[in-house]
Amino acid sequence: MFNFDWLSGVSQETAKMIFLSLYGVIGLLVLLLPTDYVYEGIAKEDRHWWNNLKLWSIAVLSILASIYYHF
Amino acid sequence: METDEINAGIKAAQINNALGFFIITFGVIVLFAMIFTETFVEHMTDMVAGLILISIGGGMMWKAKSNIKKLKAKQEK
Amino acid sequence: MLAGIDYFIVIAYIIGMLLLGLYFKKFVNSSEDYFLGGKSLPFWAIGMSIVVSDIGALDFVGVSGQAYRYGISVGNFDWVGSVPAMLLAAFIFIPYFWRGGMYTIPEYLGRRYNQKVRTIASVTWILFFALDLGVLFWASAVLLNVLMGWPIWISIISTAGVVGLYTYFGGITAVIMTDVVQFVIMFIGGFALVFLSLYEVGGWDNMVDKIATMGPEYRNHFDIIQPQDTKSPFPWTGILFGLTFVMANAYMIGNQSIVQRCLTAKNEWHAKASMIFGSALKMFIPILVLFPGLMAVVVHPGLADGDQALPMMIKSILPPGLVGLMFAAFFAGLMSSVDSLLNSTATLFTKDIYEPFIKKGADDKHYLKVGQITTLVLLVIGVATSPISSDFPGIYVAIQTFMSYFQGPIFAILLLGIFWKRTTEWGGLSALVIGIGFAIYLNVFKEQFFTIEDPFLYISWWSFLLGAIINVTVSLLTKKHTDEQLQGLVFSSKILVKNKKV
Repeated sequence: MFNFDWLSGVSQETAKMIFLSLYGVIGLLVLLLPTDYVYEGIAKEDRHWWNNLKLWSIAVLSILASIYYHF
Repeated sequence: METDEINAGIKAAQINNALGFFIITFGVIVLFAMIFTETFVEHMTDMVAGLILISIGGGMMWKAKSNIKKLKAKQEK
Repeated sequence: MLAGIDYFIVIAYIIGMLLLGLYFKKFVNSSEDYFLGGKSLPFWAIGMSIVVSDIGALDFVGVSGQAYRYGISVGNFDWVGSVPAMLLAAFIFIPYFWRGGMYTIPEYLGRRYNQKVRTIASVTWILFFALDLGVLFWASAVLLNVLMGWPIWISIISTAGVVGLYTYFGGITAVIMTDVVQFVIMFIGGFALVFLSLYEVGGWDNMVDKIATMGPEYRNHFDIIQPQDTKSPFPWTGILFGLTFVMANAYMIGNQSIVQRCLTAKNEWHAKASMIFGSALKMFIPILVLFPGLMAVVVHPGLADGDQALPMMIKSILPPGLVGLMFAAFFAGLMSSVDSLLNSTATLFTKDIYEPFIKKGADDKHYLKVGQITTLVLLVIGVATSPISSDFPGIYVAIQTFMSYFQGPIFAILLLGIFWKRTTEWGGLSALVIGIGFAIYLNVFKEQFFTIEDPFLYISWWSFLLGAIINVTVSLLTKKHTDEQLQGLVFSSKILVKNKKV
């Protein structure tokens, strides 16, 4: 049990899909955050799209997913 | 802008100025190291790395100096 | 040994760091300046600092060595082992610590659970950080001895002198800003190394082809996901359960030196952004340390010690000037690990031990002085204990292994503490103590439980799971905290929609 033998039947391809789905789920959760929350700390009139941390997170997750897709 | 914010801005700019100077110095040293290289590839690598360091450091110093000027002017108002 | 311009660069770097650190003295006027940089730092500096402090010189060499032996799967630690955890930290944990005006993680644990949990967590960290200091001083001394030919004791004292002075005077601002310089230099040197190595091996595709023909042991070198029955320490099950779910989170959320950096941000947006920016930068780290290790398989095949891969690549591939710069970055990596330990330990001692137990309610200047004196005392302890490393060469690994015992249980109590308001003080305390005990037990009898050689990923997962189960069970059996006690300490959707203190 401690060695996760019960997962030995899962192929490397399926495992890769598990990782990719995980990134998808995290991306979805980030998108669900209220926009006001990710801008907190910046005055309302100074908020620009490039300060939107949701976009930053999605960009990072996309790069991560493409690395795992490629290798 | 409040005094606190101006002071924090000046502090950040002074820090960046010092960092920029430090990075420029290393850029110059790496550029100088070109004279010790033997092949063309080595020559170019030192040159590119040195120039990148100088431009990063220079950019930081230039931005910091202009920020200090701006903030000091605001402070005097 | 280095010579000529490279020798000069390392010396210039050390002296430059000292001057830079001393310059930051003028920004330290209060304990908040010393421990939290006056809450004025920008996200990009903190992000760079998080990345750099995570990658000391020892890891730099170690990761390349593992890439040489096991291939690209080592990159999991900087990819899946960082990004999800850093996003979780950025959006959930850091805002709580930030809004609560906290200095240390044990401080949160103390408010959420009780003073005992705070003290146990803090004392444990202080002890290990203090012991780690000696090891790092020794490692720096050995590096300087090899690079510059200086005698060991002169190397130790000069490292301690430089790092000690700038940390003593400049506090965390000096720690973070010297990291920024290191980051810039490391990235430029690292990319030059990757570029020249690729040129040397005839391009990426050529390297992949060459490695593929080298024998069956290199078959999985380019698979990021390793099968469950792999002989390497990185089966995908360990990466998913041990690394992604536990160790990565414990490191990014439960590590004082990381969290303290985020708390120096000038506002909440900068605090969150620093983590996300750091996660973006972190994805490049494998390119800098892992790829040279892989390329060394082609350039220097058959190395007996994989850890030699990176130093050999630097010496054989980089031109004069950049060799010195890269080794200066190596040395800076060690200095940044030492300065992080010094400042974090001083913060833990001042805030979690001195303030509650020795002198409550003193003025701010007093705590600033205590923080500075603690830094000096730690420095002396570090120097005095450094020879232990030469008598026990495995001590670095031993300390790291021992630290990993805490990761699972600490993360279990942090996670349940913030997400489940039914968790009680006794639940937290018993989970911490029993979880750590279980991790030690699994490690001592690892041959009986695990089939892979170094099962630290599995141990962290199982100790986390047991810690969580104990926490839930004991909490359900003990008296729950009142809503007033939990004010601002437990996750509530109000924090997302109202943007106010909850």
